[in-house]
Amino acid sequence: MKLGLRQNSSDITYFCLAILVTVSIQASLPFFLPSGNAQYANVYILGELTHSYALSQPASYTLLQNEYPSLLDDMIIEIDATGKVRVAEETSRYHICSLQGWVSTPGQPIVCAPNRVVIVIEESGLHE
Amino acid sequence: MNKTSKMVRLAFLLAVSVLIHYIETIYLQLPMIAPGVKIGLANLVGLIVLALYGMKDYWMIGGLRVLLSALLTTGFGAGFMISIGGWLLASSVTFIVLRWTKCSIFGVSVLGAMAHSIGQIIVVSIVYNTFYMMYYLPILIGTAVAAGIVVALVSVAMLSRLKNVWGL
Repeated sequence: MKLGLRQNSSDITYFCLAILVTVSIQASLPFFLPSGNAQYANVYILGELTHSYALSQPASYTLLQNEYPSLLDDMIIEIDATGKVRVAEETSRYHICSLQGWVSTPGQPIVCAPNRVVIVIEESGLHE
Repeated sequence: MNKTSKMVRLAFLLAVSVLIHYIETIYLQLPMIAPGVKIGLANLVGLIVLALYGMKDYWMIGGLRVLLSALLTTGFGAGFMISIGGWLLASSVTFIVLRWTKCSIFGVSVLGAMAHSIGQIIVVSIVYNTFYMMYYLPILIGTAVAAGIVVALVSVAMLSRLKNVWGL
């Protein structure tokens, strides 16, 4: 098994295959992920839906660490006037989820891995 | 090449890969594209090891890099599991591509990078019990293809220099 250092026709074939796979996944995503109107920011903690925040008005919500032990500290979630949601404050080593910024597309998640929190915009909420 | 010389060189390459991974994790994350997006520069060293020493050492250096990086950065929690998932799938795909196709370092790099992203997403989906990470799959795969080509180009350039310096 010797590794060649010059690009060849086999590479091109697999690159094309890779692009085809990517395009296929992109095209099939709407069948698997939520679509429709962006009505709620649903908060999943440890995989369980715990809060649904309406996107119809700007607000700020705090998830308390003493209520949810998987959080590394209190977490602040903000919703702006245009129906976008973001994690404004959280405690983690690299702050990936707060750096991700505002999200407004149904199905696009904000994943706060160290805090075990996932926020997703969906059409229906906790009590529907 | 004697065993000691090989061991010293592999230890050096391992140290470089851990350092690159550390710097990339701290300074070069691109969460505005998608959470967890990185160029995967540490795979540069993986490809060099693969070209110089073969598949067995490639697996060993990759596995040790994941372990040592966890010690230095994320610890052995969810981040470690995600890294293990990416490394396992990427290394398996690298083995398959090298064994059963005629791909060069470019194909190996791109397909390995794609597999790394897919492996990480699978683990995230299992650990966090959510299918929604699939949203980022096309973005991560697209980034992996571009990054894989860049990493392969740099690897080829570095390999020619290393072969001169190390007299291989």
